[in-house]
Amino acid sequence: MYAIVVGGGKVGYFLTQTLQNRGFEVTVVENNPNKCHKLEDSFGGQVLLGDGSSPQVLERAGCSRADIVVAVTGRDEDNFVVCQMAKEHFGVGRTIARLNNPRNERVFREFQVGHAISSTIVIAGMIESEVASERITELLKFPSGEVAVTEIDLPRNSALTGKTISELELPVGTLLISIVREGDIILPRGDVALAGGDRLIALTAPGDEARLKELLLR
Amino acid sequence: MFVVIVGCGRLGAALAEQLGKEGHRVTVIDDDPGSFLRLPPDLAFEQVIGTGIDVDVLTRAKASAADALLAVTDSDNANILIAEMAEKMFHISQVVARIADPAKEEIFRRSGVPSVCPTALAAGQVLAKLRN
Repeated sequence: MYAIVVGGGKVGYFLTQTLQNRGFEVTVVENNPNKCHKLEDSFGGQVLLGDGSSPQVLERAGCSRADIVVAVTGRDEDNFVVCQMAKEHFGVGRTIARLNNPRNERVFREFQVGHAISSTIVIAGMIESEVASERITELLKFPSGEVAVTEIDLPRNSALTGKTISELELPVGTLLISIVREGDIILPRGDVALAGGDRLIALTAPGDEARLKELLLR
Repeated sequence: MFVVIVGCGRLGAALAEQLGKEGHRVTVIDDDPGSFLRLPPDLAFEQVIGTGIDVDVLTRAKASAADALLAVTDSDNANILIAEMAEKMFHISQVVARIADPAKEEIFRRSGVPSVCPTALAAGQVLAKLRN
């Protein structure tokens, strides 16, 4: 697998190192000569000095044979242009853009420059899900953001005790995957009755959390 | 016509002056308030301080009411992104992005970004002078 990393700051440095350790062939592109020298100390010949958003530089980096291009500079417009060129001009299958200003999330999503990753949004999301409701925890979010695996702990004295799953009016985007009761896993068929202390694991659509909270934790 | 100009450098200010003289309504966006000193003092322009790569800033400049948007900051990449936002999010019918790198300009023009390359234009003019 061949990866091109555009931007040799802290994120780019550790990303290059990590990808290399995982067996990727990596080229890192950086246009600051001082940063380039430091990168060369660690990565030798796999460093290219130049503006990674220039088509000629991407060409020299071997963009047309790259399996993945990751743009992690500190400027959103540069990351956007790198990913668009990689996708549309060089035909790279996977592109990932670092998003610096969370307010640009909508823009990046709208234009589908591949995956847009914002550390601010990720960390804020983690804090929110910890603080907002410890009884509902998002276990796993798929990168596309369309679906998440969520864990819901019913209180011991839940008012839903004895109610069957078919009696619950779960949101349309929610699918119960399993119920964990005192260590046992129960298949959530419609006729299964809930009990206080049950742990429910569900696939949920974004925005369903508030509705689930109201339904299951009131 | 209502025109939003993003970037008040030499090109942005020259465009603002020309359009202002022709009687068009012009709003200029730049993140450096000092850049507005380039605008001719005898004409009225609306000035918005901020980066053009920000939906909120473009909204403050009333971009969705604009007939045209000219992305002429000193960054090719910013101009490309602003032009795409203007077309796809603010549905402005006439958009032009300044892209100084000829190779990049060709790539984005082909993929549908309406653009002008000052480098290619200047090269053409210089060569024309040489041949005369």
